[in-house]
Amino acid sequence: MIHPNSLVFAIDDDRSVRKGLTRLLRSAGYRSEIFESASDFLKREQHTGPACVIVDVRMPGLNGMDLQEALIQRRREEQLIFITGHGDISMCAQAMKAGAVDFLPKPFRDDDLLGSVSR
Amino acid sequence: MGELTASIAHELNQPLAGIASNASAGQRFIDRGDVDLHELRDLLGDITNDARRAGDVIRDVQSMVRKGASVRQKVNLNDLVIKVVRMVNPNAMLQSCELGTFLDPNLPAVEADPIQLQQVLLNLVINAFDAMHDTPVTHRKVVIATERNSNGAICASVRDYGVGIPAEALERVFEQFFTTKPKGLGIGLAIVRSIVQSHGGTIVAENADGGGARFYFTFPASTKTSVV
Repeated sequence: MIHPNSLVFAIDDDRSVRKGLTRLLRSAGYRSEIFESASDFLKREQHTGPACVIVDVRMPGLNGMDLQEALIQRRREEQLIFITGHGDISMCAQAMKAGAVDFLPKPFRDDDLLGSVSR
Repeated sequence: MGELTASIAHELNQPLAGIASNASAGQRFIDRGDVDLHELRDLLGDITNDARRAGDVIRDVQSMVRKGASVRQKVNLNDLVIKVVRMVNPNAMLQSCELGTFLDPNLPAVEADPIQLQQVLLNLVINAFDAMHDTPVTHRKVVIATERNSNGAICASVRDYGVGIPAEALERVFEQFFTTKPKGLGIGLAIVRSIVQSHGGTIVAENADGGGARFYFTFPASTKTSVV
């Protein structure tokens, strides 16, 4: 069951990916907010309910790994799901070690992504 | 060219991720009996656009990367420059751009794959044209030069009189994904650099005195060739 106050954030610099993610999350019944950059996301007030953040690894400015570090430093508890345009094993290992829920290569399977979100 | 493969994979996986997410979302909307035809139409339109975008990436790559192994032979860079000038002359005329050359007549041959070198020159010249979209027609000019430097290395440069390269971008123009063009992929100069390096050469980008950008590459001369 989806918690009524849960919110899914998605951050990707690519417009097509953002639009696809928005629709996919809505089709699965999730409320979502989508951002073009990690710094835009950080400017938003922290959500009080359960939250997870789908974030692209490679972005101009703050990348996904930078965001993970920023959230850890601020002791924030959003769960991170990384998505990436091309696999980078060392980054994946680093992200998972730092507590990421998942690390999915694009194009990801909808069930894989939604499965990670529901966790 | 491992980095390059990663770059191409990335550029393809973005639209593919868009396609897959949109298509899955569409199926879920249908399964839930929650279909807004207007939205479904938009969604299918986005899928079509992403498919075209993926096709564009593949075409761009095909036009830049020749299939097959690199074939090295003695190449006269001046001849290549002249050939490339002939090839791009229609573009130059279309964009009212003056095209000039300064060729060192005593240039020794380089050991190189002529088609790859031609790709390097073509890429740089086309980029030079692109950099001058907003330059007044009377100032549009591209100059290709060759010379032998004091170390005996063979140098070639492509210079434009366009907007130049922002200081913060100078170091990054050859990186994969990096682009300053609104619809650029960030692949062209990455390929250029990988070709130059595979020939034992180096390439740098700089802002030229008097405005515009200059790309300057250097190759070692072909073995112990006779000095002409």
